[in-house]
Amino acid sequence: MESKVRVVHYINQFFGQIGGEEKADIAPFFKEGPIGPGLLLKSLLGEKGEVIATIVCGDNYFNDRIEKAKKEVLNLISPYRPDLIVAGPAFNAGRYGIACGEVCKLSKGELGIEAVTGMYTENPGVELCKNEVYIIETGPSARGMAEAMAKMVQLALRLISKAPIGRPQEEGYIPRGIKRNIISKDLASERAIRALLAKIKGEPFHTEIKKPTFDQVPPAPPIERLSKATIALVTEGGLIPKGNPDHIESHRATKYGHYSLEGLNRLDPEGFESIHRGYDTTFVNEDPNRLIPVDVMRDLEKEGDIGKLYSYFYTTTGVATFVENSRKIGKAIAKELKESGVAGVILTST
Amino acid sequence: MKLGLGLFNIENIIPNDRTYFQNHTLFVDLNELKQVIAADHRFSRIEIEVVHPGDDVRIINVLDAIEPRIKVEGGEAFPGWVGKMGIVGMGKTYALKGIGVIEVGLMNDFYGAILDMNGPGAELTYYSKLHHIVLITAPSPGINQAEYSHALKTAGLRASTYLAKTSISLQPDELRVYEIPPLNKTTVNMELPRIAYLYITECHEILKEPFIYGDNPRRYFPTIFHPNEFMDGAMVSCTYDYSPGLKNFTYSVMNNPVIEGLYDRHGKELIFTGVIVANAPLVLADKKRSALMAAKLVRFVLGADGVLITKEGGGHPDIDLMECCEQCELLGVKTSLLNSEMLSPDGTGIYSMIAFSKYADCIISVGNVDEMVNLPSMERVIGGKTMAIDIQGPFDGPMRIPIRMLPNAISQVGLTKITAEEF
Repeated sequence: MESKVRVVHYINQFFGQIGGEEKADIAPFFKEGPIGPGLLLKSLLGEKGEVIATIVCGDNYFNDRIEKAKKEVLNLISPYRPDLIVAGPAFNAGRYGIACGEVCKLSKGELGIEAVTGMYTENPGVELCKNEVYIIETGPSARGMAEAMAKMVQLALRLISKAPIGRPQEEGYIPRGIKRNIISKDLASERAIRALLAKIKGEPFHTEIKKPTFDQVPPAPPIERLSKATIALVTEGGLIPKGNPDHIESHRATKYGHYSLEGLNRLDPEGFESIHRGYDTTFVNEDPNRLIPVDVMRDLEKEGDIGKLYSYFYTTTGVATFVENSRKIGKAIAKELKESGVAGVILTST
Repeated sequence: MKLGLGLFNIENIIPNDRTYFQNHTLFVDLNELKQVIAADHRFSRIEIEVVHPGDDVRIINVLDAIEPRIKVEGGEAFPGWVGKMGIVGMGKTYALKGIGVIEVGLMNDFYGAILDMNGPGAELTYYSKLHHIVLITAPSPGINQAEYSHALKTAGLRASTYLAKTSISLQPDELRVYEIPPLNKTTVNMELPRIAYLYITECHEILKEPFIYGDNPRRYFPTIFHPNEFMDGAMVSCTYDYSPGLKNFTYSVMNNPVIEGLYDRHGKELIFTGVIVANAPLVLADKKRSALMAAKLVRFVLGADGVLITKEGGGHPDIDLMECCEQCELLGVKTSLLNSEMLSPDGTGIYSMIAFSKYADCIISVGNVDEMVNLPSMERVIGGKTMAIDIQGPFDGPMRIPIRMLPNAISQVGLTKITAEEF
């Protein structure tokens, strides 16, 4: 017979039967066995698992000093060596949701222990941890406790036994922001036509791609004295020294390079070429200065319009690159330029 | 415009010493077929293979798939290529269903697909369910990409015509009539919503564009087409340097499921008012102008209440998709879009596309192009020993590749049931 799943349950002061708001500052402590909703958890686990301990922590205590509280909770959990953490459910209680989310992330990240929680979709804890942790979708209040806990237990046991996890609506969890290809019932064209007809009639329709939130980057303050400033050239146009010494990919780049402009008054086509696969590189390969305008920058340098051209140019290929990689590359380049005292950058895009 | 489309259901292709069609079987004299296409100095080598659904075969360097069709009345199919120039979409056309002609070739920068005829990869693409005549070609020395691509397309279309010719004096299994009269002559219930289809072509550069009536689509203003024109090959794919998951193969343009779906409902649930073809220019101001012109035709010429919009390619055509959506919505035309998503191999990416309009509230996903698929080993590999893009062999062993490498597993005209769903 399989051994029972060892469960530690995390709850707040209210569900821990310590008290309401007035007890929200209580530091985390543990008790062997289940408390409050833990009794429901115990009965739902039945023969399959056992609530070995309950961690109780005040919501204010946790939220006012998150890093400290996390460490304390971690120290309470680790000696039990549980197989699973169940947190909450927190319903629409925001501070409780944040605590549950943090505890679950901690368990998965630090201890490598499966964790499940439950929240109302608008709980701020959802955004905090939905990408990493399964959150069962609950109603806003504790009236939905029985249903929420049943779904949490069911999903948790599937996770422990490494059974495949079904779709959000089947399992009852909040979508985690991870998209997978599946085979739909109908052709995409059919779904598109049906959705359009519904939209025209004013009936509900379903969009399969939602608008993402785009980053807003505040522009840097203007350069005070351009004639004293060091200006760098950066491109995503894939210009590299011939031979591609850093093996920068021709598309879907994960790397960038920086190459010396020391002593160069212009870039020669014998020395540089573009490996970019997303545009016609004929003109750039004939005259690389049209992508990285070293010739013009040297003129501006001579004429005193700029202080100096930074002695390296930075380059990568921007075609079908994952945004996450672009962000990493961009941040790294910006950091290096900043540390080198570069005041401004000319970005040439293709 | 009225087109009778005669369908011949083909259940097998058998190499033979004479080419003819009988009892749902296509017998092909491969030597004769080779002579039809080999008289082209731009090829140094041509081999022809026959493959069937379920064969333990992997085809690599797959560049295009074509459905054999021939016009029995009313001009010639694939006008401006192998057919003489003329407006198509009228008269009678015969189509060989259940088979395809596949162009295979390799040159620097060519971006071929991988087609498994068996196993899990075959579950993901429509083309695995067809019998194929595979044209495996190599370019002559000194031939450039443009010349080779032209030779490939010509060979594919000639082979299709040669095969389809076998049906010309026979009775089709089914005759479908595709007819939509000019709008002022329509006899259908005028209360139904009027729906247009806006098809955005890629027009990036050579090897990254389709051809329309034999011309590349870089200089067009948006133009109104009758849906029947596509069925006769008015548009063919020449996207030889393009991610297979993001291009529309000729087969999918001839059998465009959006057009089929709108035709099926024409006169019952909607009035299909026509197709606008717009391109995807490379300069933002041109994109905006093109979208305005397209929306103008959709709203004020076709008088549409709603429009389906599809595009070809990834990246910059997302902007055209969104500009067209926005301009149509601003004129009061409801939009529904099809698009693929680029979400990284594990599906955690948050930006499905590079542009997004607040008016785009109805987008159907044809899947994440980056998701990885595992393919088992195959007994036989045809189509070469190497591929131009960064996928390494050996190709007969198990492979883990992005789904975009399977031809039209991701299809932006909707020739697939694959979609990306959040988990």
